[in-house]
Amino acid sequence: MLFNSLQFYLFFPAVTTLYFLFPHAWRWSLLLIASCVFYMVFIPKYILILFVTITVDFIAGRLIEKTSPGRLRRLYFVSSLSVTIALLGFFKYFNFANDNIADVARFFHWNYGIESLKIILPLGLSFHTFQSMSYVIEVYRGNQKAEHHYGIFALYVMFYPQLVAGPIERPQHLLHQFREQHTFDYVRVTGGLKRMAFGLFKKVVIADQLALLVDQVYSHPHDYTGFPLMFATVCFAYQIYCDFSGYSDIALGAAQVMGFRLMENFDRPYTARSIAEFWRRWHISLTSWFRDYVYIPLGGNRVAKPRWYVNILVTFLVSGLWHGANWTFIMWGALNGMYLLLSLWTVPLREAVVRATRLHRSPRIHHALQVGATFLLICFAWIFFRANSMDDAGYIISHLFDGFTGLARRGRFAFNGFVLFFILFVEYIHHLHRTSGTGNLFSGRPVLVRWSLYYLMMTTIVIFGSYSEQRFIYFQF
Amino acid sequence: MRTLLIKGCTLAALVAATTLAIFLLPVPYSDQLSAILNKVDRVKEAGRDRVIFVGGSGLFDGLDSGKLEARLHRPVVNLGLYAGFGITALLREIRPSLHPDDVVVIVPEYSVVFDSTDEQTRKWLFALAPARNLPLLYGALQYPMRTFAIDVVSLVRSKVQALPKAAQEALRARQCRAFFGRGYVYYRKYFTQNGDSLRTMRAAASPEMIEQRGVELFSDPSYRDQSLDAVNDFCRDALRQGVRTYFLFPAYPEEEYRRQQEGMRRYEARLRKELDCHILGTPEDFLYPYDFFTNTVNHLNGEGKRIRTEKVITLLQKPAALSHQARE
Repeated sequence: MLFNSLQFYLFFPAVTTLYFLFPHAWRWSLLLIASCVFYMVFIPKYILILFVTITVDFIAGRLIEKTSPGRLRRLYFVSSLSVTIALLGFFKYFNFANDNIADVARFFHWNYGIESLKIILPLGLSFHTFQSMSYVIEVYRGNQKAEHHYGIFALYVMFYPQLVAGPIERPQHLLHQFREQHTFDYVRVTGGLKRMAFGLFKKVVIADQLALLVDQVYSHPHDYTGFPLMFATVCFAYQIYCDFSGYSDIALGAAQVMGFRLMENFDRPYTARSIAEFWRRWHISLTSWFRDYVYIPLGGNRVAKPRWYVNILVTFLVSGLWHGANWTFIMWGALNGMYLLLSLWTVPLREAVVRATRLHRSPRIHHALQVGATFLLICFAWIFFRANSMDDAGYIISHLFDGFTGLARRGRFAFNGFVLFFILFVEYIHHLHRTSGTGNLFSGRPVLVRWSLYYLMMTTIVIFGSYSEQRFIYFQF
Repeated sequence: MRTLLIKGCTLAALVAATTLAIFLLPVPYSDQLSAILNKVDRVKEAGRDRVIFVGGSGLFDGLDSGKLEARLHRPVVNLGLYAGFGITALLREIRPSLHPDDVVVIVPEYSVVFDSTDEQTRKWLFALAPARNLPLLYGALQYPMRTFAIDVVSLVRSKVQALPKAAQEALRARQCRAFFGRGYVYYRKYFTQNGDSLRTMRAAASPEMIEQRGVELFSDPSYRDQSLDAVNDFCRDALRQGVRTYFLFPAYPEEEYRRQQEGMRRYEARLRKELDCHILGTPEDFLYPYDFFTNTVNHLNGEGKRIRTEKVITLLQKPAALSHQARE
């Protein structure tokens, strides 16, 4: 079920109303059934994969807890991770690996007869497997007690607001919340609803409108040169941000209405002053997952410098591969890793430039230049993320600076100028969020101001929203 | 919970009222397809003895109605805009405003023949005559309410997007009246008064750039009989009113025609047998080399437009088609 579908806006009030009407003891079962329904709307049989993951990790958690540190405990841990990774690998990476092997075989004129499988990637597979894995890892590390209630554990993995595209939660943060009794709190509920409305605004008013232009250009990049390629790339930067942070806002808001607190996933990433800062602000739940379960176990920065650099690069390569089984995503991850390495290697040089140009005396200009440079580097990396193939990405990069006349072959741009105002509005709201906290927006303002803003936001969603029920970009991962 | 429901319903009512108010506001639209409103209005305003061309974008880009008007000494209106409107829908729109001695020339593109209204154009036909078209356009749909709501909202969005331009026009003209209107907000920029395109498209750099080239049009020798019935119904009714209806073949690349000649001839024979109106000329009269086509096999460049217009004039004059005595 999509958060921007009519179905969801019937499903959500019904489930929420029942949730508050049900006695506390039965609420978990209501949420579990609702989550199953939510997931089964896509491809019903794929829920079995979810339950295999849940069952394996539930049993593994119990066994790990019961066993004292040693080989057996390690065996349970590795077995659980192996099953989860095997499922992810089979559904997400089998065809990619097989196609590449077939290409290599063709190159050497070898006989390779394994056909690609006709399978559809289960929705949100990367998200719920990572969430389930984090539980097993935390139990193994002794940071989390094993869950003894199968239903609650299943709910932890498939809680519907964050089931298909995160935030990827940690057991310490979410699991205990299913045992808390949540009452109907007007301020909390309305805060959640406002956040959902804001998320929907970002998705249907900005992301889906920008998608028209981005899809127009990126579906046929060879029809364009210069400015259209550049503009579509910048538009994609905002499309993916509004799409994914919009999804996260709806997820967090929906959970908040019922009394659950999910992890924040975005923190104004395009105002970051460096690539490292960007990654502390973008898809925070995934970045921190890779930090805690990949980067730090590899040794993090507490190793020799060459090894540290390798750790950074490996983490970003894995992150790229997590996003999709395609060389474009791997390249995107590698490029971000290289950015980070370059930023580490060029610290003395950049400091010297700042001193020489006396930029340190104008901190605002310095700040703006840092934000602008980071944004441009991130936009450049998005080319690989959005391009349909490495060939397309290569074409786009090689024709980015070919002037301003590249529209001739395709005619008019599908660009709605109003979107620019809406992007500014979103940035303003984010600014307010940062300065006045993440509580109820505008709560201290006069009634007329608040209502005018709610009214304008809802009217804009109705009039400028896209009703094509376009999928969220991150659903494909 | 009660307070929340009351506040939620109040907000929903305010938003719905705003949407409805904008929908009813007599201001123009920002989408080019809304020009169909201007064109149908032009039919009503053009006086008597009109020659009305009904077709798709092949007409919009491929006919010089000004020249036709000068040579035929009759007001000419070009309803061609986009084939997705469907010939039958356009005939239905002009039917109430026809007068004796009007001439209707139907020029459907090969790719759609008399095909009916598509998704993109439904809302503009609804905007043309809301009360009349509401049951007609939404009655047979699977989810009529949902589609209707989406269409109304799209129309409202188009009006809101046109507001800055409408305000600019009003300021320039220093007349509040200029802010209001019906149809496309940029109509005067892109259309002649007769309804032709003001742009002259350049010929495609090579035949490979021409869209819909190589498409097999008549491998299935049937076309929509239901639509043909509607066209025939129009022709018979028009004849009773003293309005003559003619059929013209569209412009098409010569090479494409030769490639599928058998199917084309079958199609022509069927039309000559089943169509209740006079067919002027043959498909061969409107075949041109690729050099005369622009982005699709339906759109002519300036030279193609000129030659085709001359041919249309000749055909309309030849059988004394426009003379009052020729009324059957």
